[in-house]
Amino acid sequence: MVNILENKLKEKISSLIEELEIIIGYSESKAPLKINPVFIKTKEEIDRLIFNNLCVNNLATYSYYLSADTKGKIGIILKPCDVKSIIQLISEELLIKNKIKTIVIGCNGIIDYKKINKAVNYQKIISAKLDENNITVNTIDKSFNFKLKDFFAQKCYVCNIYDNPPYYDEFIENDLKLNLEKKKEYEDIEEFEKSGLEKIYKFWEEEFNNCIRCYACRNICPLEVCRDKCIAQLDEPHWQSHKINSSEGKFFQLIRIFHLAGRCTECGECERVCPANIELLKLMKKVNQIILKLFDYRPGLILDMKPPLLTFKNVEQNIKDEELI
Amino acid sequence: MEKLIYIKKESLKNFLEKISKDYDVYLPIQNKKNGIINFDSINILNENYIMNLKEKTRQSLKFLFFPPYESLFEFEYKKDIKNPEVTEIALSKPGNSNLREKVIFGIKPCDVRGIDYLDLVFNSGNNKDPYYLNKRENTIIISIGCSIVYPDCFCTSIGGSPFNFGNANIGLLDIGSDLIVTKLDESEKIKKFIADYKDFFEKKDMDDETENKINEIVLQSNKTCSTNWKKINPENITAKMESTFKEDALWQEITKKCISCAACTYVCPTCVCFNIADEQKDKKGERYRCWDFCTNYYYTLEASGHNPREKIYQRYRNKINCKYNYFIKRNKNLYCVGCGRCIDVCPVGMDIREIVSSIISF
Amino acid sequence: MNFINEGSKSLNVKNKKEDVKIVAFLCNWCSYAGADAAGTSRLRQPEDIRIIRVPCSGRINPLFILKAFNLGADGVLVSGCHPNDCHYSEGNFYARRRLEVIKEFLPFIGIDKRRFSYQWVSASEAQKWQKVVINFVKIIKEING
Ligand code: SF4
Ligand code: SF4
Ligand code: SF4
Ligand code: SF4
Repeated sequence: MVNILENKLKEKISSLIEELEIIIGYSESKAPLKINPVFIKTKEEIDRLIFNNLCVNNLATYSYYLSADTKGKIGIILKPCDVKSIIQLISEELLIKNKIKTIVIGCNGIIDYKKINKAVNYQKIISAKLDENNITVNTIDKSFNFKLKDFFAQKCYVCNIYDNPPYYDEFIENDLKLNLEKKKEYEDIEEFEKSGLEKIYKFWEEEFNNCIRCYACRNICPLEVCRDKCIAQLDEPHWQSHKINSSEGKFFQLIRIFHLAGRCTECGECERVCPANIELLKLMKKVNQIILKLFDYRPGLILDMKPPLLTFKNVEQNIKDEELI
Repeated sequence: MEKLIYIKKESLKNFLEKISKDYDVYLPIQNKKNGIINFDSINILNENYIMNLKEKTRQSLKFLFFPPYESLFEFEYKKDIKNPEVTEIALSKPGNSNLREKVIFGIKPCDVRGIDYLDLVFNSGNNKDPYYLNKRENTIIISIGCSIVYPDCFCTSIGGSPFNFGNANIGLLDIGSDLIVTKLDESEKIKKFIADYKDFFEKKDMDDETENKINEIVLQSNKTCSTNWKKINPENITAKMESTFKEDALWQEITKKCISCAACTYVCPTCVCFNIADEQKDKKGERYRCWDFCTNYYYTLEASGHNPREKIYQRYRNKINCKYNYFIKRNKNLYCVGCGRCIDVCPVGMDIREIVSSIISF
Repeated sequence: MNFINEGSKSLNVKNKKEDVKIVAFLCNWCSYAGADAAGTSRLRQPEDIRIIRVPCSGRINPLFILKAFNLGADGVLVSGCHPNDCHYSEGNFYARRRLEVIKEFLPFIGIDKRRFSYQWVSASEAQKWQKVVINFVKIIKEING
């Protein structure tokens, strides 16, 4: 089944490759449970392309910098949710619409490999095999077999665009449809909030104790095109200390979050790449939940709509002034 | 016949507890909540933090000797009211905070090598870094050879081996039931250490069974490791790095997916770049150093605004050259120990073996 | 409150219960003038507030507030012109959106929502300013316990 989809993809790419300068897609990786981004220029390389449930990377990450470096058009292979990042970039005038060709593939969900790592008690996985409904992973002395349906990324359990992307230039339909029991959006956030201020404070303090300020979360984010101009690394003005410790890690994260408020499309890349396994997406989701509540806005769905924090209304429906008198 | 010294696995826990009375003991400890293994003090062991000797730690041992952030000194401007034109600066150095000797247990041979390289940088000739030495001195390093070799290990390719204990004081080999001592330092310190804990260092005659077991493990590990990558010759590789330095197109091609974060350099046992900064509030302040990384845009940014390594491929080229070229010229060694940490953490699947291979075959 | 920058312990003192530190960002045209008027008309105010003057409430980056908390402030108060009265006509409209997002977000990192407040005080509202400050300080002291 999967191969039918890959063949369709390859056919489509063959027909497009002439007009595109470069195509970004997914390819096999030697590392188990992972795939590699690949950059394709010629017909011969098309065979390296793959698409399966392990294609977690959001390739929109490369769009901004690559489009500055190339003259021609760039093709990007995207999942329906990844396309939201492109929409957001275009609507913020960071990308020029006709420099990018979005090739969107219908999706039946992606696997969150951190969940699998957890399920095998964080033993190192040395090989893995994926089929339609199951995944087999091997550690050095054991073999595990898991049902896929428990290991999808959190976003897939609330996804409703897997076969109708909000925007695309080319759409490749997938015969396999996402078939998951839907979860309530932001239910994990609400659950977490119940634990009370003190516990929450402690939780983040401990999480960020592990942060080494590697900036992987910032650099992988498709929307953080400012990575080489980051306020967290400037000396003048010295907004943030260069120290590497819990409170600075947290402060850096807060900067990120407010720079992404109303922009983040919750693709989950930051959380995926964090070498300290910090639950970064929780923070992003909370901001998005607030934005949704206050401004009834979801990032990355409409091409020419300004993010809510870049505009205003004279009378705000959902904001009430606080009386201190 | 040769006498064999060994530690029984079942008495390992007691042994560690016993030595923690006299030494500060550091072990690879896994946080059960997020699965990350790091070197940490034995004192934090509990049901959520468990010892894990199997796998590599996420952070290398440099974390202990060359921490991500450390204060160098504090300063204070002092003014005399009677003498307002004179400003004095009072400095205060952080004291030798820890004088107890340390035992670091359960280090992999590649990490031992990593420390040897750190020593070359922080403790050689005239370059003696007091902050580093303060932590590095008075350490007993007990290494355990790798009976399990993972797919991202490649120490044999660059002149190491899963059982090459380098400058470790004690080298152990895990044969399942016991830890066999295969390397012992000649120094007085270690003789005393062994004598102090002689209850745990048991002795027996070498028998065939044990000998076979040892040989088998060594052979197997070496074999697995050497299938992970080909052998790299330090001489040839420098020449190759020189000749490809100007091939911008090649470097652009192989580094396209890199996003220039610090994950690979921060976990690397040999990356030592740091930044020094002053931070001051009112009249008091602090000078500190913290890690820096060469794949970072700011690393080479000049005050004029010009950046000689503006693009990611230029910066990544420096990283590879640092490890596979410049350091060999200075110190006759590849500046990589083959631990594979960078491969493990890279968010986009950059594999240093593939990169170097494609340069070699260019 | 223990939201203290552990890395720069030397740079800050943990606040005592009675001695709270509150940072207030006031816009130059309305609230700062209002606070000034309160001073000149000798309306008594608590001394726990450190005022920072900014050109407009729209100038206030969310970072200012977070940084203040990170450096050990017990409370942060923002005040600007009433909506529709902004000297630059729309600065405070933008501010209102951002500030509300911050306010809603703070509990998620373990900071009590009440430690942050934003108010609209015009140049002529000296009395209002006095009340705002007195009440805000009272609330912060209550939370500190
Ligand atoms: S969120 Fe939807 S489109 Fe995105 S990976 Fe999951 S199922 Fe696919
Ligand atoms: S990826 Fe994780 S460790 Fe790295 S800076 Fe971000 S939060 Fe910190
Ligand atoms: S190689 Fe990987 S880990 Fe290293 S800077 Fe590039 S993206 Fe980051
Ligand atoms: S470059 Fe990579 S493999 Fe080599 S020592 Fe550093 S982390 Fe280990």
